[in-house]
Amino acid sequence: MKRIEFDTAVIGGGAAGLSAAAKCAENDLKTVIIERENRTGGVLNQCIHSGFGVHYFQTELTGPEYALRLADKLKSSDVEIMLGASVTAIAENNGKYDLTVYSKTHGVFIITTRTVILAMGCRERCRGNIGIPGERCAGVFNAGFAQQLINTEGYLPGSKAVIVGSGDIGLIMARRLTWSGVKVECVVEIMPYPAGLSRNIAQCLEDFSIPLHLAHTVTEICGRERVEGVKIAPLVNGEPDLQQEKFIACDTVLFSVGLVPENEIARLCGIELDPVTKGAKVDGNLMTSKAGIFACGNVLHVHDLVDFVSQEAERAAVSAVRLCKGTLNAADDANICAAEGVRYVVPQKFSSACGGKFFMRSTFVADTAQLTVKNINGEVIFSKKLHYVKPAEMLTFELPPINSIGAIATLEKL
Amino acid sequence: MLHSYYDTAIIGGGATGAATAFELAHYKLKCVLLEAKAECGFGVSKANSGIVHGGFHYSAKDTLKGRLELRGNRLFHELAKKLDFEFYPCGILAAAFSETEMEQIRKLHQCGLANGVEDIELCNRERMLELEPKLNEAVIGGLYVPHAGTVEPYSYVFSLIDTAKLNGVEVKTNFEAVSIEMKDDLWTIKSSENEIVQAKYIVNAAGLFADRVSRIAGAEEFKISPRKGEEYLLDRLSDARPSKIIFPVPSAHSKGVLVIPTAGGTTMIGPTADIVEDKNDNRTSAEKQKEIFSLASNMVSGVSVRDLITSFSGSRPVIEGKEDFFIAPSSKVKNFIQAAGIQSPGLTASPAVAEYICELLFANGLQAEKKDKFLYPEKVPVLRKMSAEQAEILYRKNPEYANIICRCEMISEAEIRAAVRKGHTTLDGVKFATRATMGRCQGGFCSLKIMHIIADECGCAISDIMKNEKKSVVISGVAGDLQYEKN
Amino acid sequence: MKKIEKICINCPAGCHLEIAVDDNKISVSGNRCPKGKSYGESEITDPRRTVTAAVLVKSDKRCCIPVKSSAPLPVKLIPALLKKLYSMTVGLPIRHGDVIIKNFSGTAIDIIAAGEMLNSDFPSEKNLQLSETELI
Repeated sequence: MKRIEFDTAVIGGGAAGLSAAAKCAENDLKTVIIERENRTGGVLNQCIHSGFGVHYFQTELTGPEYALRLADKLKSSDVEIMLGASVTAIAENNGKYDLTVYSKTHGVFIITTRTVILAMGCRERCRGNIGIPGERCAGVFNAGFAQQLINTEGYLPGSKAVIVGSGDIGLIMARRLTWSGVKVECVVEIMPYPAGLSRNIAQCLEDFSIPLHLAHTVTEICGRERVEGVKIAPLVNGEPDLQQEKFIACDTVLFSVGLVPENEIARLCGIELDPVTKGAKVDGNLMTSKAGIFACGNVLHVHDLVDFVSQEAERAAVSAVRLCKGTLNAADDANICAAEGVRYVVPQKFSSACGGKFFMRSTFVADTAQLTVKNINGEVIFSKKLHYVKPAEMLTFELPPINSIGAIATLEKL
Repeated sequence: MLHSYYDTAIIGGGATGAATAFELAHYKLKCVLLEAKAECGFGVSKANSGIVHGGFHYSAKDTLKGRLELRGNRLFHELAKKLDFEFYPCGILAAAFSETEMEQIRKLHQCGLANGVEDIELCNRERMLELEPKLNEAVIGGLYVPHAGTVEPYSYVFSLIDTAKLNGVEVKTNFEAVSIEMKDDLWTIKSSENEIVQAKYIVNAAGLFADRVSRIAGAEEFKISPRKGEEYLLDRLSDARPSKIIFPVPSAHSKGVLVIPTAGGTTMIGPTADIVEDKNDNRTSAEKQKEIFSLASNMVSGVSVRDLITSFSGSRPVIEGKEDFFIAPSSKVKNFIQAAGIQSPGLTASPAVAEYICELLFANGLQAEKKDKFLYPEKVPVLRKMSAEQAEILYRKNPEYANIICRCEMISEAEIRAAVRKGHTTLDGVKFATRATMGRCQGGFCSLKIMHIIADECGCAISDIMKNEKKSVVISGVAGDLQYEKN
Repeated sequence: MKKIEKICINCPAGCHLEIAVDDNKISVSGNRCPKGKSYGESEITDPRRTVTAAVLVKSDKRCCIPVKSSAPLPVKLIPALLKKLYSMTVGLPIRHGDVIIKNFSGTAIDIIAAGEMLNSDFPSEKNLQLSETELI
């Protein structure tokens, strides 16, 4: 089989992959992006709404514009971009990694590389994954699939829709469907609070008076060949109250019920995963449990803003550059754990001598909350007041150097 | 109006009908198979546990299904070599968790021994845990039946159909028989679309609708009572995947909820068994989901709702008041072979059922010689099972093999095109023929790509492609069809 | 005096605005930047939204080019704009920023391409293909 060598191989050509590759190339690493679609940009290509780039490019862009800007960064670089190419396995080989790649243009071959940046993004959880009962008729879509139909090829999935889940894609799709003339009957959210950003609730639902049923679930999808409606019911003590069940006629059901990092190849090559984020466990260099393999973007943990994806990707890329140049300092002697009020903290390890930057998510909704980080002796090493805290919105904090091998983060409602 | 004449018409393209078509294809006969749905196997057969049973549940002496199950099991091992379907001969473990259950296990063992099941083994607790370490440690003993396994029931049906077609059997889909009349020793079958087929003999293999077919032909009156089963499918990386099919001790109406290592590499838990009124009821329910997960996790460790990919249900065609198959020439009308009530273990028995149906046809006057030559379709290479080196060789012959369309199940463009060329032009058809969209994302990423491939092969627009049946529209129109009126 | 609560949509922070309307005076609180103030005011006087859509391109393969309004558009004009966008087709090639509709409805707002499509085989970005000889 054919074999080709690189300093770094970036798996995935979406926002994370493009941002990481640009940074690697800037630092003279021989870089390749392996992208399974026939163009780079990933999901950004179908996110034609605006709202991207406020932090990273200091201007508001649409998804395709954000992708174009990233692609422009690569135009003057030597980064190789393999399109329509899938990585099916990662194997260790004498301190390097062998990636098995399948491509219609190049066949089946091996990429040998010193470092790997995982940037595969995430997938949508679907109706089947969450066990929504009822018939298996046509007309049930993942929100992202419906978005792709409408925004890239101009097809309509139906004429009357119910959206399950108030994640950002679902909210954005409520507006897109409405603007396309599809009647959106309602959005059904199982949690007592919305899963998407507040501004999307405002501009995608409230603008069109689309009802949002919080703490409700779909109890049945009805229709033999094509969807004819759904039954929904409020949750009482965690169980649907069938006394209050009602039928909503529709021909389309969209699911926007969460995203899951696409980590199957990472898992198969033995990279340790975090059961909460479903992404790799990483240290302060965003390095996984396998030396030389880094992770960033939605494959590491699901982000709510692409801007943070780009920033995180650059951070992973800088680590890969340092590793290749022999200047990477270990950043894994301290652990940080999520405790009361905190769903997760990424990275999971860091350098006690340097501290570091962290992303976290809360488990509750509050106007004001107090973030406290203690060391293993129970001493407070950091605290910060946070506003408009909700699980849907990622929070960030930065730790100073600590004299301890562990830290615990808690979040308390004020 | 079209008129076509045949020696034999098989009504129903599920496992029974397809196996019969395959069997009859060996003879110099003009045969047709009539399927009411969009593709063969889309009825009872597709929503099936896919078990090739071990022959120890029913007495081969006292029941027809017991005899045919045993014979079917043996034939399956042969068919798997010749035909292009996935067969995983992993064996069955039936586990007992109480002394009462152990008593049942001993009876099953006796039944298996009496039937002549080979290598059947009564096991103590240690042996059970040695055979399957994932079993709940509370197990006290059980039965091991090595010569059993799992198949992909749809690909089994498809391979029978493909082979029958290659050997001259005609297959008409979307052919729902609405009238069946005999005149001058010739049956005339009319479809809902007014298509007419004439045949000397009829085999009624209409599954859930065998009662209706029998009635409109003026044959026996009986009622098919659907016994619904829900199944839940777990990710191929689930820790629950056992090395053998795990059975509980059976009840009077069902073999119970099993933990099944599917031939395709996933894990399936189910089925339930509930009598329903509506034959088209394919609903799943929150209540049964809970029940199945609870029963399965009591037997095997690692069963988690987090690994759930999808769920589905199907019904077993049970004749009301009868637990056995009804395979016999009609006593009311001539040249009409009944193959009704083919409930569990109907899939396992199907090759033997087909043999038996042919015997009955010949015994009732059908005359035909065996063909000198019988052809088998070339097997389509399966990328998922290839090493990278083997895949590279495939790529050299056909670059479409290196274009992975379904990432979760690793299905290539080449396999999808091959399926469409065999006539699987619906999304479900491609799914069942290739496993594409059957994985963890359930087609979220690849459905549109698959639709483009179908459209390309068929020369149609992607908006013409159905999920399965005629009205199962996926795309309802184009942007601009509808209008946003107010803000 | 009337009080209205709105979420500012200018950035992901989503400030909770409280807008007090008193005869001729509008006062906004809860904003964390000046954009929030002007957003709150315009929500009362002249609500506007940035419109994005996908317009069909003239090609043998059905595909769309993303477009957006060059500035937020008065909401009452959105239905008419969408009707126009969803019924038109545009020729290739299209570069980012190309004007699709000039001065829509006299608003001085243009509809511009928010993506790039040189031909209907997508790649407009750098698309280096690995040649056989490079493979060792």
